[in-house]
Amino acid sequence: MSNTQAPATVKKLTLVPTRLLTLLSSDSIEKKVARDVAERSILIKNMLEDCAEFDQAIPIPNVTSSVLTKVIEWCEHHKNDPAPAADEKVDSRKKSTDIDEWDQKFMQVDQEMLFEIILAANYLDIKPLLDVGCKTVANMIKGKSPEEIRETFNIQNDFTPEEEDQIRRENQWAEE
Amino acid sequence: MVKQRKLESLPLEVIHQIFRYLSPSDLTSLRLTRRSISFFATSNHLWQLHCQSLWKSKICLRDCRDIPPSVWAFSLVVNGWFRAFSKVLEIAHSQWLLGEEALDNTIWMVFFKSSLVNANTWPLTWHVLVECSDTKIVSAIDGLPLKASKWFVDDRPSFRVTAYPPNIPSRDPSTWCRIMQHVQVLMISDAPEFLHGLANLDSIIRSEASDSKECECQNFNKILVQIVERRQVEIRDRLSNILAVRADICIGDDMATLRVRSAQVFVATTYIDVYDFPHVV
Repeated sequence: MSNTQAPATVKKLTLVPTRLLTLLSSDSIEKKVARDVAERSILIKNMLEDCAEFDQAIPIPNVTSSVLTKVIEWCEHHKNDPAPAADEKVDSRKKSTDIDEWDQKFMQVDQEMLFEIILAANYLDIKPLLDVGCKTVANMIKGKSPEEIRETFNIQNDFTPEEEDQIRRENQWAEE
Repeated sequence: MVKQRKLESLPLEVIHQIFRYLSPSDLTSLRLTRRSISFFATSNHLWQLHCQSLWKSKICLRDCRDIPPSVWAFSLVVNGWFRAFSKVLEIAHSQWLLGEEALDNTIWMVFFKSSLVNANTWPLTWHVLVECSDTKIVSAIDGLPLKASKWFVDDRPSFRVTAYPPNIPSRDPSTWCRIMQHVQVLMISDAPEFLHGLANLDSIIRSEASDSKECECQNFNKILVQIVERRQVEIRDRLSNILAVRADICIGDDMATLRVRSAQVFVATTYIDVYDFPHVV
């Protein structure tokens, strides 16, 4: 299915039309996307439920076009995923950071883009994508020393030597 | 133009979600990276979960687990649950046997090594249950018969398994119970110092936070007393069970010095423990 098709054409071709929506990124680029794909975003889904017709482009003010493209790519791939189970909260406590292969490849982006995807998923309320993003960041932290974490995320150490000593003492027992 | 994103500038709920996937050792590393990140990595929400899963994993911490999280004072200060977690690990690494008096009022499961088939399986079924009283009298209170002479040294009523070589007092790595090894016997006891240490930390945190939480403190002490009482009831029940099974048991003036003389006291049982520590405040 081509994204350039006009909604009217689609209506003619299928009995149950897959409506195309237009999303407008923060840098004013329009993206056409099938409604079922866009509805992976709970924000958009709720918005559409509130309005009978949506002929105008939906503004996504916090997300740039390059990030929006990535998010739509993820939603396309996961559009047929089952709805998250009700006991998902319990699952996330298990702290498993396993990520499926496709998602791992998808998340192989620079850190800037990774954070932008996480922020977009948070804003658009796409929980499974947010989970994958958070797990990816968690995996970048796991098993690293404080120095390695600082290096990985370009974090400036703002502790005084005394404060650092104090925290090292507090950490003494918990760190193993 | 996109502005430079930093880990610590992500929304708070996102940072929490990321940190929830991390282990205590990863969080302690994060605590050393930067002030703002250190603050997030010390969060009570995270460490309360780590404390609770730690308490679930160790037999010795089951009484700590029985106190509802809302009753502990740890949430009153920003690093309370982190300190509680550290305290438990600090105790786990400390030498518990500081003197012979640490043996007073303790109950021990005794295992004869030659009869241990699969020593790695927990819980083990002990062979004899003995109590060490504060007068250094050791009494078998349940299990297989013991020849009294084996448990006395130099005609004095002192415990044969003492706190120096060749017996090696230590902590069992998987249960954190106290253990003492001898050539023929392995003895396992409970470790009340965990609940004791956490109760002390609780009262320190209460005094740091404020004293306006007086009623909650009373509530905490009440629960603590209930736990101790429950333990005492458990052992009283056990002793009355033994009495019911066999008549030829000699009992002292006080229930604790009960001695088993019979060869056939077999009461289906699990391991018991008794706490003896001063109430907080």
